[in-house]
Amino acid sequence: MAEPVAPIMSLDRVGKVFANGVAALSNFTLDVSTGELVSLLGPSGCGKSTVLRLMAGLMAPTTGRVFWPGSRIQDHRHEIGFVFQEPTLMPWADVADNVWMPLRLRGVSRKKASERIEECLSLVGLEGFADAYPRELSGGMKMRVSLARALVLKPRLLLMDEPFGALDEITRFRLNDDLLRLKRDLGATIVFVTHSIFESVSLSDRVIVMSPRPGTVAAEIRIDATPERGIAFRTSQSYGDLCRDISQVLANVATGTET
Amino acid sequence: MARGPLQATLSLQVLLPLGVMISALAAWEFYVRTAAVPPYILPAPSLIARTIVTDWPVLSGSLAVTLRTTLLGLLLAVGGGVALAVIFSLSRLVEYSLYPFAVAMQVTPVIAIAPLLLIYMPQDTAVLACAWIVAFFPILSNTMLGLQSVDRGLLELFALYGAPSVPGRMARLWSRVRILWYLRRPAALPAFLAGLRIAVGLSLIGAVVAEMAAGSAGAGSGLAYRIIESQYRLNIPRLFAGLTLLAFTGILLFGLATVLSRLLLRRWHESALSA
Repeated sequence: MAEPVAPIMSLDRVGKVFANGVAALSNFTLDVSTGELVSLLGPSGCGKSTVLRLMAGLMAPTTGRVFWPGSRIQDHRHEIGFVFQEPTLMPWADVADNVWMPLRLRGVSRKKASERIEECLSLVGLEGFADAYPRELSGGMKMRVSLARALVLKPRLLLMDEPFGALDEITRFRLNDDLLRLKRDLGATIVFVTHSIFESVSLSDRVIVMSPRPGTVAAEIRIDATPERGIAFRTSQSYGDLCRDISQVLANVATGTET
Repeated sequence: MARGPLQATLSLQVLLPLGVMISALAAWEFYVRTAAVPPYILPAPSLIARTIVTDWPVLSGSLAVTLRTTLLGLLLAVGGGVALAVIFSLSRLVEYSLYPFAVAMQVTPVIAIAPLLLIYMPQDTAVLACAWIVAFFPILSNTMLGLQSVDRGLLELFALYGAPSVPGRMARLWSRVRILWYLRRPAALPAFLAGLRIAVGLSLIGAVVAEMAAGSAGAGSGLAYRIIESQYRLNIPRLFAGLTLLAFTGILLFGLATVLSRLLLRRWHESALSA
């Protein structure tokens, strides 16, 4: 590693076998450092989402260890923000109440939470939409609400499971740029699952390419781009090169299991 | 701008069935008059309307009795059905032990149970029990369905943010109760309201069926009893008048349930989007 930053979370030789006998992960080792964005890239069914669920503590590993180095407490679930593939909003609650939900579960009244809710809505660019209902929002805006809800507890680790996969490409790039801005402004640590090579290159500090099931780390690619990502980076020569390299790695990973 | 065509469809939706009804009534009236059908065979609509007015002192009392039974039966069905659905959602064991009996109670025709109930209970209690039995099941099954139809992702979010910080039975139950209140309750509302719309009509049917079963015993005072009585006395216009009042009661109750449903769901549910 270039700089010795202490990892915020570690997965040490983690394996996961589901109750139905499917081995989703084997020998998966990953350190996530403070302030970085790591994306997990791989063919569908390679266990990317399983890695996130293990990190979130939503399931336990079959073998190996998932832990937070340098922290003594066991339960870290409240330090995690989770964004699913779908916006998963409560359709009966307005935007503000949806964002309030994690705070409400921790016993914070709506009144006390209102300032934080406003703050999070403006972070994701949804000022003035507090009273709207999910039904009235576009797909991209629903995803922004979901992101605001994930940020409301000031999580130390943000886990995102193909959050923009269902959006059109233009909306997707807009949200990617906003996510990069959030990461810079908040110093957020993010683990991002995607199946888009372009997305992983434009967002990440590191891309972890996973092998097909049972998933394991097949390759790790560092993206040493300028802090200014956005359109300048996406149209540059190095962006194209990185996308081509990763495509090649993915192709090798896929054929590797067939032989 | 977009209101024009919408209002046009709305008025069509009201005017068309109204027109059909008026023409049918006119044809009926015309037939009875020209063919000189005696009123004990088929009374004209005008005679039925007059009978409702002249017999109102008798009919209104009976209407009140039937309406009271229907609403009370519905109220008990909502209370019991929702309570049981909630208990089922909290405990699998209770669900497995009791649900088959709820089904058995539903599929046994109430008309066959009514004579039995009339033996074991005072008459108004038996009539109420019949109304309750038929209205109970749609509330129970729809509420159960609704309570289960929560987005899986939302349940995972609750597992993440709302997980008990201390392990143990009480903590687990507490987190289930919170999920019930914050997620399952609102998620179940549309299905519950659909069940309610079915239950209002069924409750009226249950009340009428029980009154009819009791009617021959002779101590009843509800509208259905009035209908049976009029049949024995060949007072056919009053029979039709009672029937008309029953029909309007059913329509009114269904309408009220529909309005309630629209009011509660209008901001967020697809079913309340149009019209």
